[in-house]
Amino acid sequence: MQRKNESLDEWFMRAVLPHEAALLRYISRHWHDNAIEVGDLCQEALTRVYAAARQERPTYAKSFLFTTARRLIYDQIRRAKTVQIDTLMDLEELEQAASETAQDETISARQELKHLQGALGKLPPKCRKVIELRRVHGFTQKETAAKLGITEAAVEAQIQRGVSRLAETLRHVSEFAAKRFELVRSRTHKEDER
Amino acid sequence: MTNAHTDKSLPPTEVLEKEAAYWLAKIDKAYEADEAAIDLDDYAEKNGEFASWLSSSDTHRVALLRLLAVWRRTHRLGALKSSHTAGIYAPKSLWPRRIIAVGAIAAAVLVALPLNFFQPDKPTQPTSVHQTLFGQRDAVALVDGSRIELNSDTRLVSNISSDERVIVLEKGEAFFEVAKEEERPFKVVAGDQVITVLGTAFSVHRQGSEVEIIVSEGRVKVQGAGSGASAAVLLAGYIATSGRSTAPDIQEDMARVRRELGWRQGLVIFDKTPLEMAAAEFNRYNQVKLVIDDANLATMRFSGSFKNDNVDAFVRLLTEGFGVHVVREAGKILITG
Repeated sequence: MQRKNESLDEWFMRAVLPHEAALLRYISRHWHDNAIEVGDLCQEALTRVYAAARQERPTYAKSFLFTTARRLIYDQIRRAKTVQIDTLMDLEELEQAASETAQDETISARQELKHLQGALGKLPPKCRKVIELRRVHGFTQKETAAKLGITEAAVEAQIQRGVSRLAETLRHVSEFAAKRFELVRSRTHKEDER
Repeated sequence: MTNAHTDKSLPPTEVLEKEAAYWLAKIDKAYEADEAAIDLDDYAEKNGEFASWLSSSDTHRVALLRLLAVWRRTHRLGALKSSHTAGIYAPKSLWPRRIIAVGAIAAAVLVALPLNFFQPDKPTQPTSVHQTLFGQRDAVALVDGSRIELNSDTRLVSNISSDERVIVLEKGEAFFEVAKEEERPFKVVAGDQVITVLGTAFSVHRQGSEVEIIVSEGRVKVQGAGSGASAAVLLAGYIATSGRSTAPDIQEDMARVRRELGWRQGLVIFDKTPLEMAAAEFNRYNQVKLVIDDANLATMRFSGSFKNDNVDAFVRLLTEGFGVHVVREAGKILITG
């Protein structure tokens, strides 16, 4: 998994960030407790993974990310006054999810382009024009400003807005094929009379 | 710091996101000659303000890396360039759309004409019985294009004639997705209740003389069997419960609609549901019955979703989470305090 001379940032973008959507989707599907904001939880988990990777990069980034998220959830549960009983059950499922292989997580370039195009289409018109000139046509920010007859500062502001919105849209339109994690319980148990 | 940085009215995550986007736009400009060379630490050496923002917290760096990853993904949009050749807002770009629109209308006319001319006979289907055994779930496609999902221990009879579509729900629960046909009403008869719809999705649950109707889409009309019985119209998100002699109790509660239709995914969904009712819900799907033998315990409330056949996991959580006492006997699991 490790690549020679890959910077920590590059590693993080390649090995960790692509799993964010899966984690986010998973948590929001099963998390019924509104007290914890799902996005905040994901962000916190990502930050902790980055911090930990400064010391040593985990071999299995996805499973490390999910485990980190689970620990955060446990912390929250311990702090919460009322416990949703299924929260505990869902966490077992989270472990299952993390151990799944990544084989069906690649999508075709065409699908990716479709997602991106969809996200682009959701931008406000002015913002979309700027992003199109910059990213589709490859003009520089300066050239984009000249084409549109606006200032470079305005182009920069639109890029700022555009990347934010694209991130928000693409966060939910995952680059992974949606998967259902079946609740598989390997643990057997015998209830003894106490 | 400048502009976005100082907006204190936003929640912390949104401020963070704005700050990260602010720097992304700067970095995009600084490296537009060679995008592959983007390196946050390299840029930090050139820009002191950025250096202090970046180094103050890993959260900052992670937020920016997320945007950078998205920005890199958008590089692929370059593939669209060929389809945008003449420039994106030349009036030319409008006209392929016009062709498509005209094409679509032409196609619609082609499709519509034969239907209007020949008025094909509506497909009919003689009386058929559909049923599920205890713990089973099934889906049935009717000849008119409607779909029925049967929950555990359910029996219904369908009759699709040329002038009406009638389903008699003899017992249990079923979810209906009704194909719209203005001239051929779709009726569900459940005990005393007759539910008439045009095109919608709803479920009917019959327990003896009590009937519960849950509407997830569109609208349905519910009428008692007697000639003078009044009719009620239910919209999406409504649940009506009625007994033999009582007027229907109608509630609007979309969350409850979703909860009560959890069985379609094989789930039981609780929302502050007393343990006793939760047990009854599990018992609709499992031969081994959960029996709550403690008055205090029976009123304890639970929230969340469970696989409806995974009563063992639920019991395990009761024992591990609440230290309840469990006695397993033939055909039942007794929970005592």
